[in-house]
Amino acid sequence: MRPTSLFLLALPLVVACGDKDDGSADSGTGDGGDGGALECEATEPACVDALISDLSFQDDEVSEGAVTTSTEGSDFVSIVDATAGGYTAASQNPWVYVRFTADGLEKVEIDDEDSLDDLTWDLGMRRYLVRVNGGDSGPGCVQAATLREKAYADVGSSDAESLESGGYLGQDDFYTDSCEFINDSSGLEGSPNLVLGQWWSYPGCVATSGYPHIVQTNSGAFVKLVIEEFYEDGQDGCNSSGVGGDNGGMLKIRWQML
Amino acid sequence: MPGPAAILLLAVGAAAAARPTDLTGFYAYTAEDVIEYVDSPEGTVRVHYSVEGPNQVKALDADDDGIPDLAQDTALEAELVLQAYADAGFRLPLSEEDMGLEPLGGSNALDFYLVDFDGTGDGQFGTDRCSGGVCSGYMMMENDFKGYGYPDLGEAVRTLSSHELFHGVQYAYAVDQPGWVAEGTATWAEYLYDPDSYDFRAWCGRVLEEPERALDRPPSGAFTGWEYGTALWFGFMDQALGTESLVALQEALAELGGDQDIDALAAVIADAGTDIETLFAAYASWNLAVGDRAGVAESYDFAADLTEVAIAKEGDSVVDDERIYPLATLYVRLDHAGGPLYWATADDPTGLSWAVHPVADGGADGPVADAVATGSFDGPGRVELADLDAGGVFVVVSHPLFAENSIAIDYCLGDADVASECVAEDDGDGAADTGGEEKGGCSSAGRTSGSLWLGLLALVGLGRRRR
Repeated sequence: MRPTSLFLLALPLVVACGDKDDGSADSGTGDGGDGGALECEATEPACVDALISDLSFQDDEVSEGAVTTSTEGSDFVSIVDATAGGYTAASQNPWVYVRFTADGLEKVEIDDEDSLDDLTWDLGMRRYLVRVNGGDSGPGCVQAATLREKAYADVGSSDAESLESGGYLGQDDFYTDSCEFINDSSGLEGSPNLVLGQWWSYPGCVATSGYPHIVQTNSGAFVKLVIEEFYEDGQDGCNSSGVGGDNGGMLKIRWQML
Repeated sequence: MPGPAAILLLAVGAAAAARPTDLTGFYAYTAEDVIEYVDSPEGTVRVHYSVEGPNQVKALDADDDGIPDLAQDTALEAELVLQAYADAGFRLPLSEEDMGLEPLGGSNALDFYLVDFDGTGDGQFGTDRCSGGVCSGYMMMENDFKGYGYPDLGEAVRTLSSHELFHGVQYAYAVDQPGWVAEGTATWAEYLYDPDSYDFRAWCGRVLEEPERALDRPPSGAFTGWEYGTALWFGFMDQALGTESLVALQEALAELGGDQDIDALAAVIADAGTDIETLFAAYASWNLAVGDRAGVAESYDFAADLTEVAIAKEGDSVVDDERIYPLATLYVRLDHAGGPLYWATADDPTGLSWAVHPVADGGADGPVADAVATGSFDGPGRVELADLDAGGVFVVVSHPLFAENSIAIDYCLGDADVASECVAEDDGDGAADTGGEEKGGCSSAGRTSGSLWLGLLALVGLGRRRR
């Protein structure tokens, strides 16, 4: 049985499911800004064999997708090229890995299979899927929650602390204990149940919800974020009328360390 | 080869659904549409279309008979499609009467509605009522194909009629078939109806792009194309086992349940007198001999029209690690210097099969010869796969089993020195040194003993079947 996310904070998890690796992984911490309260010990995801296939992990191939960050007031605004060759080719292209730092969002140059024992990344992105480094997605301690009742601007550190103390932060959970795939509620077959999955919906295109999220990085730091755009051009048209925009997968993320 | 033109939607199952003429639903006529219909020559299909309004059908009427050609051609094509399916032995789509409904389109014919998909798709088989795991339904298709990528209207109608009506066929057996079966067989059905189908060939390329993916495990994502690409496997079953094997598959799904895809497939293969290990290994070799590598080795009738299968690794030798999933294949191309070619691994590759295909003319790449050696691995160790002349050679390693997990291996492929990087050289008594493992070696059928699975194929009467 796999432990809950809170248990993960305290104890390492070493579970293998048809995996060729020995279950050990590098320990360490991410580089999550000014945090550092949490010492995360890497624990291998429980269903590696299924994970590599279901999420189309690429070996020996690092994404060429660029990650850029600018500032707007006290926010960072990052653009992540998670286009992955377009929607029909995405399953043959690698994920983009990033970590939150005090200087902006930083790309982590690893391939997908490396992500399974690497603690230096916080989020992995490909198209509309955003994984956290924890639970079924990665070896880390990254957790997250969605705040459906609040606007991004109103989210503060007290929200993060409440979520943490209340045990409301979660990790990616898209496999049963027997490694059966758990679909999210989007209606798209094969779409994994990701903790950050509420940023989008699918009315015939990838629409943004505008919900803010709290992410706790591998180092224990808290970040608030909202994914504002999936399409490089035409997001409003998708949100309002279900007509897809251009160049999907160019994720625009507004975020701030708390 | 450019991408396929069709943007075929998954057929939608529902217990009771409105038809386009009810003026509700995602694809529907409006109150402004003026709707007429035309029946097919034998009366088995009725095509409804709008002559005025937002869903107005393409107005071209070359024979000047007052009926838009698209509606008329669709009626004829759909009728021929249904006849082809019946001739092949399939059940036909269930009618309203079969499900205890009154005729919803004004007759007992299968209803076909030409509506504006507005670029969000181009065809769909909708359901009226489902009961006992089967459904009756109707067909919807784009009204004018403006902005779509089909080379001509005839190709569009042929492709969509054959694909979507096969979903209606599936619904007469079992409505809950998984995507890789539902879309894969529907795309194969395009080929059954039209052996020259471009759309079928184009989608087959999707599986050849990613042969290391398990056939029955599509990747995550909104639309990956994988489910359509599995048409290649069903095309293989068609040519190796006969079209009746696809009919038998539907019957097995009806009996076992639409979601029992693997059990149904296993039953069909067993009834054909073979097994998945034999069959999938042959499929893996057929998939090598396509595109520019076609023409010498046994493969599909349409092999030359396909794109070449993706090669995972190539070079003078290969030392790598790999996970080989069930119903998936690893392809390696070597520039072989001549002499014995070895495979070695300290991991346990039991369950994997292999085949060695030299390039037919001795070049680095090009049309491949039939396998000169095949076998199945049986524990860690090193094995001499074949003793070959210098030239290009392909090693095909497949996992031809119904299984849960991949087989993960670090392996070496090349001459004796390369093999020694994975497993020390044989100590002379026939047992390989596998780094402490007692068990070693692989079963094989070398050049002189013939091809294991090719022999089995011959025994069960499989092999290339010309249309």
